Order: sequence, then C-alpha cells, then structure tokens
Amino acid sequence: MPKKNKRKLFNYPWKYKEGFVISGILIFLGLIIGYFYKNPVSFPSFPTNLSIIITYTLLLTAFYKFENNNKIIQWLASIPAAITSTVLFTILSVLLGFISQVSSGTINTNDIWYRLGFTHLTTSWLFVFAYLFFITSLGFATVKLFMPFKKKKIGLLFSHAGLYIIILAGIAGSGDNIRSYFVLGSNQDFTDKVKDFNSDIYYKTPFKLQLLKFDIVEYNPKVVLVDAKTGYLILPDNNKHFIIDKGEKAEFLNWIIEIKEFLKYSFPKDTLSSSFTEWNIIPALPSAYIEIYDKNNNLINKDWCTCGNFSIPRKNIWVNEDYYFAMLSPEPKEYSSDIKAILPDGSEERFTLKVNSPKTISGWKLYQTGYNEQMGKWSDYSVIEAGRDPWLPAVYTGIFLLIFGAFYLFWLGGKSINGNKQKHEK
Amino acid sequence: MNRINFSYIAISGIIFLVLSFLVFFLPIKKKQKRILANFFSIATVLLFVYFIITLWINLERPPLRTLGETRLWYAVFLPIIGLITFYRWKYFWFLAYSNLMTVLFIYINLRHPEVYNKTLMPALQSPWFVPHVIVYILSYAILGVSWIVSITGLLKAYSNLSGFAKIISVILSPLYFLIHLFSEDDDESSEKILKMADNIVFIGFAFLTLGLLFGALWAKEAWGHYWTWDPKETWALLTFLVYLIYIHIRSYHKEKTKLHLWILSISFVFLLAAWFGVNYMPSAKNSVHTYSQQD
Repeated sequence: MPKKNKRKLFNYPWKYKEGFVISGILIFLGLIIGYFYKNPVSFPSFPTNLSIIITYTLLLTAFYKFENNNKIIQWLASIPAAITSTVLFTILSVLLGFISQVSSGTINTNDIWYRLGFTHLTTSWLFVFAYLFFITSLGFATVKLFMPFKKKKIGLLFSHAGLYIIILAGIAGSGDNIRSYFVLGSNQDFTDKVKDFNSDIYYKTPFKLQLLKFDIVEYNPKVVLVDAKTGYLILPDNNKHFIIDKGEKAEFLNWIIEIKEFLKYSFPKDTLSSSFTEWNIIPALPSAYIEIYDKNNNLINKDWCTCGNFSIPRKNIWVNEDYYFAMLSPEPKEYSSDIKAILPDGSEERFTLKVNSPKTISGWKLYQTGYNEQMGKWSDYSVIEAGRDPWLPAVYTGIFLLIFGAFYLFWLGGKSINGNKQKHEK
Repeated sequence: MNRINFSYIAISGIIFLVLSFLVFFLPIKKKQKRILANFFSIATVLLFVYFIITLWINLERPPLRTLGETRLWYAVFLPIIGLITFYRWKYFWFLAYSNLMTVLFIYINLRHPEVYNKTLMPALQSPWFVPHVIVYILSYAILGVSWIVSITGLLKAYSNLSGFAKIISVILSPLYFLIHLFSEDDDESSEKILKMADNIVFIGFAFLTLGLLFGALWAKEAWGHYWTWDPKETWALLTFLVYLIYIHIRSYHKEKTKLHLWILSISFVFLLAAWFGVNYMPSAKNSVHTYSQQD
C-alpha cells in the first residue's frame, strides 16, 4: 500500500473515501429529488430507452478511449469505485430486504416514507442513483477489460459484460415490459382485453382467447386429527402426512384409522351426508368411509366424512369430545386450461396452458396463473397471465455470458484474480 | 420411509464420521490414518445417497423442498467437498472439519425430524427445480467451509494479541486446537489460509451465481418475470453482492489479510439470512419462496 494516508479528500488519485462521499451525495440527491419530484420513477419506453442505453454505452467507451488520462475516469474504472458502488447498492438492497414494500395505489402519496421512496425502493430515486453509479463503474470496468483485449481475461470480460447487459437491458426493458392478465370465464366468448398487474389500465392483445375447459388434477386429500379445544392439527405418529386412499391405515396418538372406502369425486345421498355415491359433475367432492379403533382394536366410531366445498358442508368424524378426524381440502397437483386462440391473421390455434409450461403467441407469453380457488376443481374461470418483454433476448444474452463467466471462475479458482492484480496497484 | 428408518441411517452416519475423526488419535502411520478417514467419509456419503434415493422414490418427488430436506443434501455434499479439497489441495484438517459440520447437520435432522410431505405445489414441478436447488446447496456448503477457513484465519491473526481478542480466541481455542491437530504444516500463516480460502470462495461464488441465474430462468417460465424483487431474491442478490465485494477487495489489496478475513466471515451472515433468515422477516410475508402450509 502506498504511504499516502495523508492525502486530502478529492485529491488524486481517488480511492475509497471519495467513493463513499459520492455515495453519500447520491443518497442525499435521491431523497431530495424523490421528496420534491414525482414518485415512483419509471423508465421511458421504446425507442427512447434503446437510444438512452446505446448512447450511454457509447459515451462510456468514448470517454475511456479518448480521455484515458482523466483521473476521474481512471477512478471510475478502478476497483475502489467498483467496491463503493457495490456497497451503496448493497446498503439499499439491505433496506429492501427488511422493509416490506407496498404496491402503488394502496398508500397515501403524501406519506413521508412514500415520498422519500422507502415504500417502493426499486422504483425510487435512491435506486436510480445507485444504479447509475453501479452501472457507470461496471461499464468502465468492462470497457477497460476490452482495451486492450487479452485472451487470459476472457472470463472476467464475460462476467462483467454479462452483468452490464443484464442490468441495462433489465432497466430498459422495464419501460416496455407489460405484465397483465386475462380472466377467462368458462362460458365466455373470445376476448382480447387484458388488465395490467399493477394498475387499472386495460390493454388489447393482437389475438383473442377463449377458455374451452379448465381442469385440475388433485392429490388425494390428507386426513389429520384435530384437537377440538385448541384447533391444532395433529399428524400421524410417524410425522408423515397421511394421504387418504382405500385400505390405508395410520396411527394418531391412541387411535388407528382405517379407510374402508374412498371416493375421489362423490355426492351425498341425503342432506345429512350419511352416505355418498360416486359422481363426476359439479359440485362433486372427495369423501371417505372411515373406521376408528383404539390400540386394543375396539371400534370407536365409523362414519362417512368429507372435506366439504363451496356447496356441500364439511363433515368430520369424532373420536371423543376432545378430538375429531378431519379431511383437508385436496391440494392441486397441476391445473391447466384448454384454450382456443384467434391469431392476428385470422387463423385459429388450440393449446393447453399449465403452470410452468407457458406458450408464446404473437410475441406475448401466456401463463396459467390462477382460478377460482373457492370452487377448486369446478372453477368457473381461469386466470391467464399475458406478458410482453421484447428485451428478454438481451437479458438472456447477459445471463449466458455471466454463466460462462461463472464456469471460468469455477475452473480457475483463486487464480482468476492473480492475473489482473498488479495493474490496479499503481 | 419413516423416521425410525432415518434414525438408523443418521446414527450410522454419525458413527462413521466420528470414526473418521478419531482415527487421527490412533497410534498408526499417517498414511493409514488417511486411508481410514477417507473410507469412513466415503461410507457416509454412500449411506446418505442411498437414503436420499429411497426418499426420492418414496415421496415421488425430489427431496429438496423443506429445510430439513436440504440439510440432508448438505450432509452428502460436505464430506464430498472435504474429500475433493483434500485430494486437490492436500488440506487434511479440512476433511475432519467438513465431517464435523456434517455431524452437526445430521444431529439437527435427528432432533427435529422434518415432516415429509408427498404433495408438491404445481409451481415447483419444473425441470429447473433440481438444478436450481442443488447448485445453491453446493454453493452454500462450499461457502460455509470458506467461513470456517475465515474463522480459522482470524484466530491465527489475533493469536498474538492480548485483552479482549485473547479472551475470544481462548473461548474459541478448541477450534484452533483442532486445526493445529490436523494441520500438515505447523506454521500456517493467515495469509496462507486466505490463499486456501480463495479457491473455495471462487468455486462457491461460481455456484452461487449459477443458482441465481438458474432461478431467474426458471422464474420466467413459472411466474412470468425473471426478477420480481421477491424477498428471497433480494437476499440471494445481497449474498451475491457481499461475496462480489469480498472478491474485489481481495484482488485489489492482497496484503490486507485481516480485513479480508473479517469480510469473508461477515459475508456468511448474509448467506444465512438468505438461506433461512428471510422466512422470519416482515418483508417475506408475500414471498413465493415460503412453502409453509396454510391449512
């Protein structure tokens, strides 16, 4: 370490002190502008966003190339600037990690925390300035790795460039990104109306959708013992959830239950639900005939029970005054919508949407997201998310560059930093 | 597969690991000690691989969902990392250490058996599930080891001091003693220890980056966007950032050993927060990463 500890603030060469002072100024600016100017901040849409990021990147490159004796630019491309900008970003992210964020529209816009940006940090001016410092430092570092280019540095170059592209394309993309949803009713005609996720804005999609059929594949329901006084659910003695099926047995505390009959979709024969019969249309629900024994194999109780649904009441089976067995509502294994679409050219297409398997049509990505949870399997509508993110290929390019960089780090271990160390020292 | 079955496996695992540890005290040759220690570590790994496979078949889904299940994988990967590190860099005490950590994890699982649940929510049924979680677990296991190394280094660095630091180091001296015991080279300086940490941190950080990126790719398929500032994402990013800071400081000031050791040991706190701390934070109430049952 050079013995320059007495160096005054903002005398060259800049190091950490300057970085932290700059961070402090940026935080101050962020708070002030946030307080007096508009909240939350949004990035402009195409083509302004594209020209901004291209201009920015060209400026960074040009400055580094033609002003490479400028001390400030040297500093911005240095590790102390990288570290201080990352620290600033980290501090804001720590706040974000602790403070619960609210969506716009649900908060009083005169609230001081709102105006300072703490309730919506990622779209606050604080973040804008933190991004700016971070991306400038990262951008200069990337350009520095390019000029002059050395094969040895390819891994570092890829990881820096990858991160730069991800962040810049992500921010620029936020200006063009649409996240919205269809609510498709089961007996509804074709529609092209989608509602924005975070506001009351409606968009029109270039295609029209109709729901042909919504379906859920369900797991068999679970059975638990319930302590009637406290309402606590008690699991079987082996601590494994007891999933119902015909012939299955399980031990709970002092009792053993046996499933004599299980009907996955059924309907009560009378209003007291004293017995059930198989049934496969709305509002069918699971039911089971259960026998309860004590440890000495004496029969304690036997009856039908059901988890109930929006139309048929729940029915438990009692052990004694303090405990009863209850069937829980079945959990979905997968749910899907059969959809018919009319594309912009007038042609028709049929497809099935499932969770985790989206479908792209006309530049929009469609996802199965939800349904009427009260009605479960018999839901009368399906919620389909419709998203448009024209910047995705750019973000993915960055991600794959960074993945390559990660493999490089893995391969070289500690050697990855030995190559580029000496230069910074001077 | 129920709890009784697990306790057999767990206890055998603990016995193997303790044995791998105790061979160092036997009055036999160094080479023989190594062979025995390796044998017991590999036996533990095989035992847990067997257990995980049967559990996987039994649950009809990869056992990667709950904390208890991830601890199980930890118990497999720690001895593996210990073995690999030993073969690659000949740090012998390292194997003993990772095995000791493994015992701790198995013990926790034994005392707090997880509720094994067969059902898996639709959002988690994805080909990204296994690579995303395994890469993260590997990364956490490796960075966990780097934390141990950093603590070791700190103890070394402050071992000549007096006062408070001395008291702390006396309290932590069993740890220090163990490192000495298994150390091949009696005179390991903290700088040397840091060099060892470099390899570990870089490998762990590479996995951490992969986990973050795989998560983003998966999120795009499942939730419609690659980044939504979900609390778990925020904390994963924070972990990434603090290790990023560490790597940059480390590459810039090679000689500031103590500073590096401190940052490296503090970084691990962020990792822990991302791993399970986030479940307890107020910001996490809407997280897609908390999979607790809401019946």
